[in-house]
Amino acid sequence: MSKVPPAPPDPPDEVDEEYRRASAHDPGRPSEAVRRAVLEHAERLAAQRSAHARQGAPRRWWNAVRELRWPAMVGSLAAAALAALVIAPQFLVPRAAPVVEEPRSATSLPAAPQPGPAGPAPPMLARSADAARAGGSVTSNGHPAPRAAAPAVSAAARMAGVAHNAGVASEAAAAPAARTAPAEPVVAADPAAAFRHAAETGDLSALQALHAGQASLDGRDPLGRTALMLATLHGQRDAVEMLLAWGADPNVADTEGTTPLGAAIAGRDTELAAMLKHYGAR
Amino acid sequence: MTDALDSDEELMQRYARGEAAAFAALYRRHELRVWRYLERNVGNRATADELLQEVWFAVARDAERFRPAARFTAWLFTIARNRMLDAIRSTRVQVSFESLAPEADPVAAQLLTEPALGPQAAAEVHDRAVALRRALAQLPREQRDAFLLQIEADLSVEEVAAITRSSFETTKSRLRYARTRLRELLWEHA
Repeated sequence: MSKVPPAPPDPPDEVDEEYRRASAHDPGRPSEAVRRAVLEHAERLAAQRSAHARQGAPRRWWNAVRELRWPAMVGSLAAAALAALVIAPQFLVPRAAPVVEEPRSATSLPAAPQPGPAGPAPPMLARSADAARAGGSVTSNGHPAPRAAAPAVSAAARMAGVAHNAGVASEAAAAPAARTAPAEPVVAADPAAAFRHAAETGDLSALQALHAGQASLDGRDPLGRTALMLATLHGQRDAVEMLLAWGADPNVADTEGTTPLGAAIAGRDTELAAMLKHYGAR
Repeated sequence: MTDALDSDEELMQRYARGEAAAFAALYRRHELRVWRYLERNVGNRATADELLQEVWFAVARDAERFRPAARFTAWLFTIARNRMLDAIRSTRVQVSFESLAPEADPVAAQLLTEPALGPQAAAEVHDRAVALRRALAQLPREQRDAFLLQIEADLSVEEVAAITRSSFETTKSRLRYARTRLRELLWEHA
């Protein structure tokens, strides 16, 4: 199935545009101390989780075994009993019984006095085994297996149902798997605008797909901003790095004469400024 | 670069399994937007910093409870909004926009002397940023909240309505009024 091209962004509201432009120039940034504190905290928790997972694994396995022991025993006994019911009549019935081999007698023969449930047994066995399995899993451990499948379905439906304002972003959100899939060329209604939007929001998979679809690297919006400029203004470092690696011109200024380097400096983003300089920004 | 290609939801799942790098990638991706949402709602950088830390601590702590059925940004901004409202309700945070004055804003003041931009460009940039913050400060709280949720978190009207626990129509009206008022204020400034 062909990929749905990222929907072109909604016609940009002038207020939104002004908001984005002014915010991009707003030098306000969260403090470095907060960043450090958050990342250290997250790292500590991750380490604890990993350690806990390693220690907890055997115990969890044993608990699972313990939980499964009773249902397994009951299930085995039930299966043995049913097997006995099925197999035993075969030993009890006299050998002469299989008159069924005669084609003519198949319908005309009077019902052979076959003892017991030898005929209908298999379907009953299947049904009762299913019932036993289903009953066992629900009643014994309280974790009905079929429930696991439900969230996956609803997740997909829900994600697909999200009506997102920005088309590219919603595309990415609705199909997260597409982010990891290799980029396929995408033809959007306005590839240049979609490309810039992907850069601005840091949607790398859309960016890759649009780039593969020959979207112009240095196309400009009405304010003269390229994808690189928008990615810089919005602090999308990975997008900036990707665009620079593809050969985006780091010295294209917008209509006000601001270059990506100027924007990075205004945003106090030294890391971005260094990256741009590395690729020849002046 | 691998982290950068993963969706937010995948990164959260990886972090929940103990990969700290996945969290760092997520943080890098959303730090500024969440901070702007908070800062422009409470009007104070220090408070926004404090709340930002609380939000991301909560994200780290509750990572295992996150279900990919929900969009990460919606979940993240729900946490941010709840933290902010809790702080405002407990009067720990006084919503004030005192930092809008250039003299009270060291970063903006520094920007005025930014050599890379040139004095005129730097002044224009500064003016524009201050005008925006002033305009936002003049919006009613609900309108500002809805507008910032939508523009910073890139959320749909439905998602904003769900997060703010308002009806779709109410949210739509709030967004429309917010944009109309901002347009008036910003153009008036220009």
